[in-house]
Amino acid sequence: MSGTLVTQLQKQSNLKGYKPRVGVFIEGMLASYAFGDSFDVVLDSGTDGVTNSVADDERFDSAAMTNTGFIAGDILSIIGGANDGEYTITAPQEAANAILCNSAGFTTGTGQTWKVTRRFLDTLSSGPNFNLMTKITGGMGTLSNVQLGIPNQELYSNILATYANPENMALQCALYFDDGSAILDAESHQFYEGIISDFPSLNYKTVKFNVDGYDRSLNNVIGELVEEADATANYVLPDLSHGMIKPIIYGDRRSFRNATSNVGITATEWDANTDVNMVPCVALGNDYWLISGHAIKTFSAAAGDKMFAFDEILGRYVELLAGDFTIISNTASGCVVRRNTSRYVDTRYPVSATDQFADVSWANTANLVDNDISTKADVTISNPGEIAHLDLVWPPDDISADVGTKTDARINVRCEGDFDGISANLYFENDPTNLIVSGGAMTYFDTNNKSLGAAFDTTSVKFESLAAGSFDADLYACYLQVQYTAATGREAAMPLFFGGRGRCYGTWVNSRTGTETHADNGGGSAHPGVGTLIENPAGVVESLLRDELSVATANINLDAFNVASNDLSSDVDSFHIVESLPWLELLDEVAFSAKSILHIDADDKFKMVTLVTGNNFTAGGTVKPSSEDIFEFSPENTFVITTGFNDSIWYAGTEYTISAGQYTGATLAAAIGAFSGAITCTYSSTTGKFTLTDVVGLGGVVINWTNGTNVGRFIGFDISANDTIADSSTIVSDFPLWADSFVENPIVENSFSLRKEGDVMTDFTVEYAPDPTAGLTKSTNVTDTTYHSESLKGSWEHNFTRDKTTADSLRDNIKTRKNRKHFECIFKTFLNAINVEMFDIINVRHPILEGIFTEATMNDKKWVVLKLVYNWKSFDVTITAVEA
Amino acid sequence: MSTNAIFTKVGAANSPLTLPKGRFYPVNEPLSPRQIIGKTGGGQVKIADVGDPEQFFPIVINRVSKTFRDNLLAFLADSLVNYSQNTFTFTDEESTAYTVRLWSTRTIDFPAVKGSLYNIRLVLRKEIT
Repeated sequence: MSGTLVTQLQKQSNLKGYKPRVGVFIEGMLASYAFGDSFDVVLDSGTDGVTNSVADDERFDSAAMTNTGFIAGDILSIIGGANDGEYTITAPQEAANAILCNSAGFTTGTGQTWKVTRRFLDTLSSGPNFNLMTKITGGMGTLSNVQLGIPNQELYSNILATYANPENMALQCALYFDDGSAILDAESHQFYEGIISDFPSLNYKTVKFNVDGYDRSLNNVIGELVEEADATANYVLPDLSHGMIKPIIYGDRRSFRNATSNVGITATEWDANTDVNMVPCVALGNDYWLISGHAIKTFSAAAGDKMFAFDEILGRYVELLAGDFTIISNTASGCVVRRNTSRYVDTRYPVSATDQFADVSWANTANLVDNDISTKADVTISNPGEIAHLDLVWPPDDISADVGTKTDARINVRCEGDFDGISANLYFENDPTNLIVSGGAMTYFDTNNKSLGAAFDTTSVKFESLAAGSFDADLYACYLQVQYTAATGREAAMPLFFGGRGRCYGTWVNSRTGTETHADNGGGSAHPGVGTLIENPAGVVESLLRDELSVATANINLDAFNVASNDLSSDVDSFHIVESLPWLELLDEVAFSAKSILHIDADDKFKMVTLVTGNNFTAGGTVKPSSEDIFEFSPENTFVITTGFNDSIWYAGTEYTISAGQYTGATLAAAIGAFSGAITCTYSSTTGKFTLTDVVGLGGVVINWTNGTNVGRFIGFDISANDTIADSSTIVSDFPLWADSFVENPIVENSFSLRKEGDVMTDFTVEYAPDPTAGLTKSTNVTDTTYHSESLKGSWEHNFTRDKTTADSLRDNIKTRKNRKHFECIFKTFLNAINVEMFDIINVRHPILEGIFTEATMNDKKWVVLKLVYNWKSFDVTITAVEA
Repeated sequence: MSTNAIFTKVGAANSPLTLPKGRFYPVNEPLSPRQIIGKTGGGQVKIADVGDPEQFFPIVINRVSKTFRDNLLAFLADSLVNYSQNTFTFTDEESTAYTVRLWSTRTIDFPAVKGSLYNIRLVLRKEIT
């Protein structure tokens, strides 16, 4: 997503000769500074100025005035009349639509023409040079500091002297172009914003500033300590809770492992949710526990939200029965649960399944113990009375009296087949009445009570034919659940864990407009906006910024996050934070795991960008590079037609040749429209665009842009596909062009170089699925020896997902970037690149590249921008870009 | 009609101060365009015009009287001029007036030469507004 420039900036930045002006505005100071000539910027203007010498001869009113952005020191100019002249504004926000100029002595008047300007003094001893940088694999981008020096001969230190704490004042840098008319604030491009972090020296000659690119507290951490005030009323905070932070929970932490009803779950869900997937709670005293330091999605047992305890004698998690705890509160301040009764369900999976041949053998019995819901043990019986018998062997029964008292037991089974009680029966414990009943082809769990008195070590499963015919039974998964009441006084040794859904979106996700809407707002019933569970990595990053770092909407590039949320709509994050983390470190990791960059853009806004394979070129948004996307060793000039290069136009099935030579926009338009009478062509020097108009009305005129020498791109059309002009209609070019300009972006002489970047790996492992209290528990691996045959192993972490698809996506992204070294080119260009941003996709054309890639490949090749260096002394921009 | 150059600052000592002689040949008036020139690989140029050109007026007059030297020093030292701090008007031999500022930024040195006379060396810079 490239920066958007207003028409004036688009035009001026591409002119072969231009007058750039750099303005530096420092909040709270009475002067603004320029590098280059001094200049005035018109902030606002009108023709309705009102003064009243009787009421206040220093006050100036105008209904048309928007004075919220004025500062003391800005200049009010009244043009004509008795008050003609310039006045320094001393109270810029005297009232809405009113300012004060001390000692102005205005006479009474109405309908006065006025303007407010800000004067940028030519006193910067150096330009605000800085750079932006990121890695192709993503993470937190860096924005360098800026050093500025202001000569002090006229004692600018006097201006500072009135400010006790000049540090932390915001500094904004903007680019203007002097086109001979008034320089308007609306025609500026802010390219940097930071805060003054230090004055390394202030002497009689110079005032020097150090400016920090992050308008944030760099030392801030994410995570709030649990303190005594958080303890349950009339109780002290339990010792082990001191030093812990209030848990922060993202994603779906529900688990099926202790489910008693799991109708309709899929193999994928089973795989994702039979793991240990809980969040440790923090004891608050009197068996109250803090689930999170924020609101979570409304706790719903019916929806699968659960509470667990860790039984330290058993050494495993056990489910707290739904009626045995109460959610005390679930607000922005946190979610608190109370354990009412110490009663649990312990779940066990079989350690083996063995066929006990009766009449027919069960096949694939190992599939009953592989914890894979998609594989099955199966059998077919054919004659009435035939029985197929297998035994499930459970782990030893270790619920002793020290643990508690067993109160119930049951078997759960996921199965399907012909055991409908007419064709055949499937039953347990050698008891033909202990039936699993099938409605036919089943894909759900059924439950079967197990006698508490029966031995827990082995369970027999029998499939018996009742009628003539061939009948099947398929068993996909079985598990045993034992309910027990913990021995008295064991609660303290059974800490609680939360297995449910975490933080949800606030209202900030609603009603966001831009290039795209947010993936979690308006994406159907599962993504209604506010209240939707935050699992999308773009949502997670934005939530961390807003909910944990209190970043305001004004400092978030909403459009970029909207686009990123759609780019990442297949990724599912699920993690929790239970220890304080530096925010930069955390967001760097989250962004890297999401294959995205996060950086501070020129407007001091957090911006997230995901590199998506196959994305179009950025500036033009086109499949083929538009002129705006191209950086060219020898760029074309506007309106120059060269034989065999750009001298043809095809329309209505005929190719016409435009005479070579230099044109103006108007003469070139006339030449293009002069051939057959089928179309006319006009050019607007205001918009910089050409318009083609059908004048024959014969069913639409096809304009063929695909011919190699067509003029399409050179008059600003997107040539990714042909255009058709409907009868009596028009089409307008997509990209503006003006005379005396470069068509493509120029590459500065002798500035181009090429190198190869990065590491080479052939074996890629990503570890993922964080454990509730320990490290990562799963891994996914792939090898790629397409470019190198050696085994070169690399391992990375995805600390924020339990989803294999998400982990695979990160793994494959790393593989794409590291399975070989990629070419990286570095070159300088001019201020035409002022709108280029990190991760933009550009096209680079240079003889060196042509020699390596061939011209055809070079002309379509995508490069990803990784670094931008702005030099405001030489007015150039150095771009580092790597092969996409 | 060619006349000697004049320094003028209303209210300042000895203003207007007419130079006793014309500037010595060659009379230089160097002009420094404030432009940054860039070239593309293909040789096309891109010009950044960062401001008005700087024009300088080196004043070279040899063998002037002590009286004029003293008058000139008094003019430059007057608080209304105060050397480089404030601008004054330089009217050249063709009667063209320029707003200028003393640009001999470090040292003013009018060496004495034979005959109790003095050589004048000054650099003036046309003010950019």
